[in-house]
Amino acid sequence: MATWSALFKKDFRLTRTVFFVGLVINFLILSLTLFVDVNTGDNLYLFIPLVVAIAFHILYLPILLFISLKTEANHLHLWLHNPRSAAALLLSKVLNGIVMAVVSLVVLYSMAGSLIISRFELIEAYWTDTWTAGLLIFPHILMISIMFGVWVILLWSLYHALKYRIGRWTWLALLGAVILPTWIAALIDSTDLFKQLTQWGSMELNFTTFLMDPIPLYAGEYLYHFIVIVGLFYLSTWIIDRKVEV
Amino acid sequence: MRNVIEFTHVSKMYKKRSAIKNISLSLPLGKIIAIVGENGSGKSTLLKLIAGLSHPTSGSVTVNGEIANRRIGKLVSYLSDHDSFYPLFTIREALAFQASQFPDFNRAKAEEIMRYLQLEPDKRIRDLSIGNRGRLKIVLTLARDVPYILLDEPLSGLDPMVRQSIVKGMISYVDLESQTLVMTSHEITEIESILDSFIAIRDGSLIRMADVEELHESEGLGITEWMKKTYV
Amino acid sequence: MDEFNTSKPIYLQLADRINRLIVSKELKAGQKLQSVRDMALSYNVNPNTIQRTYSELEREGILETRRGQGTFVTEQEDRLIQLRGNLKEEQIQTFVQIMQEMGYSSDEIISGLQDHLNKKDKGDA
Repeated sequence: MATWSALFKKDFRLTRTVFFVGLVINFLILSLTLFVDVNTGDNLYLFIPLVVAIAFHILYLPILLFISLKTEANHLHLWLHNPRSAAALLLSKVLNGIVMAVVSLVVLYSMAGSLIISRFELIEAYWTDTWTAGLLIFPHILMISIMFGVWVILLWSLYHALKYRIGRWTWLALLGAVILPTWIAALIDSTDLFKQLTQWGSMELNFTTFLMDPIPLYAGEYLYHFIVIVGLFYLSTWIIDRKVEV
Repeated sequence: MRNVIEFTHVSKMYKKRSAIKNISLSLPLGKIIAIVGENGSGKSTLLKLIAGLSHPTSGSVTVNGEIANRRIGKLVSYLSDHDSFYPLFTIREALAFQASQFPDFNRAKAEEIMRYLQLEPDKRIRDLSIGNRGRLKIVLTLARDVPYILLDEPLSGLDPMVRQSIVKGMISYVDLESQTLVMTSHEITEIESILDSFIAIRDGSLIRMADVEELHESEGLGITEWMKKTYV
Repeated sequence: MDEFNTSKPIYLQLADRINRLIVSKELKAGQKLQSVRDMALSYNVNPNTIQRTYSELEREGILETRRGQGTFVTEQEDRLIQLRGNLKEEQIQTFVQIMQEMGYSSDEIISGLQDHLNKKDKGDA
């Protein structure tokens, strides 16, 4: 445990600057929002920057992981020489990213909350739905962010496994590593078999106050994405443990 | 399980350049061994292959019978010729981190080597001079109680006083009852007297592996003179 | 720092040094030698080399290792007297060989040596 917490703290220190810069950006957005607030009337436009900022969090983990891994690449032998499994080493980074992303999102949410209070009458009719929608967006943004983050890890690992084998054209291989699976996934997604396999555990979402049609959701699809994330992660750890070179 | 580092017909290609050509050798415990050769002859690659930080294109490298991949780090303490720490740490933090990650890290030994090499524990690594970085790397690497210690150019770029104290440190802190030290070095004259054997490579091929005393006895030559004779 | 030449194994050069220290009484009969590691540090050589030197001198009966206590100069006087004789013989042999190679006769060598020692004795007095 001490081993892991030391690892976690080290990884935190590698990216804390990025984390704090992120928080500063959040506060700048809040200032912008307040500025818009003063200069416009009572409406909901001022939430646009906040919503955009929240949406941008799908890039939070990929950016953070990229910076963290790039720092390790400066002295790759140091990171790779650690006798722990690549899974442990990477998990520390991913968890750091998740914690930071959650903190950042919570900050944005509380800003949004404090702004809503003064305008409550504008959305009172939609309140329950807004509230649930907001809550649902939170884990989905995290999930997408983790998915992109795992892709960054995989591409980084591939790069460091191939750099001495292919050299100059490694980027082409990486491009292929993105396009090919995406294309295959798109093919699979549209098959009936895929639908049969994933479209179970239906959980329809109804936002009757602002959406006519319900949003269909399936537990099976979440499981599918979860398996994809775990699979890509495992593939990366395998590459790092066996193929990456300094 | 044999306590030995074993190369079996190892070749390593980087793209189209061949860095190591069909090398077979075995390194036993309890020795101080130097890998010598010109720049770019494959000395560093040889160490990386043992540390599992590089993988043979063909052939195999095993350490105590295990295939050397990066997790062989549990048996091998590797010092790179590049910087080997997170610059945001202080010396003390770097030691604590090393100790947290390597169960075999001997804190008491580390403190002793640190005092011997006169490092100030509260200094930030990014503020250290080149000499002190070199010393710190030695502390971090030698303080591990592992069978194999690999040092890539431990003396290069350091002034004579520091080099001298590092060589003394190797005598004091490598336990030849249970450890083997393998290093690459340009400064052969300074380490020759502490070597058991040497491995000479040229253009990636093994040209000689012998005990230093054997070279003295059979040819009346030191490594430097032998290299001058052989490498022309 | 002591330098070693490369024409002879270091462990034998070290053995020579220890022998000389014993003959000149800097190391006395029964005296304890430095530990292998300390000796390695003071001569800046590999501890294995010191170990080899000690073993070699043990084999020759000049040193004795007592389990758990360390390595000592032997207390066998006759062995030390023999060593004293051997070292003298070795030096004289080398000296005489060089002189003969340069063409000096035995008489010339003896008288030259006599003169040199007389001069040196006067200088000391």
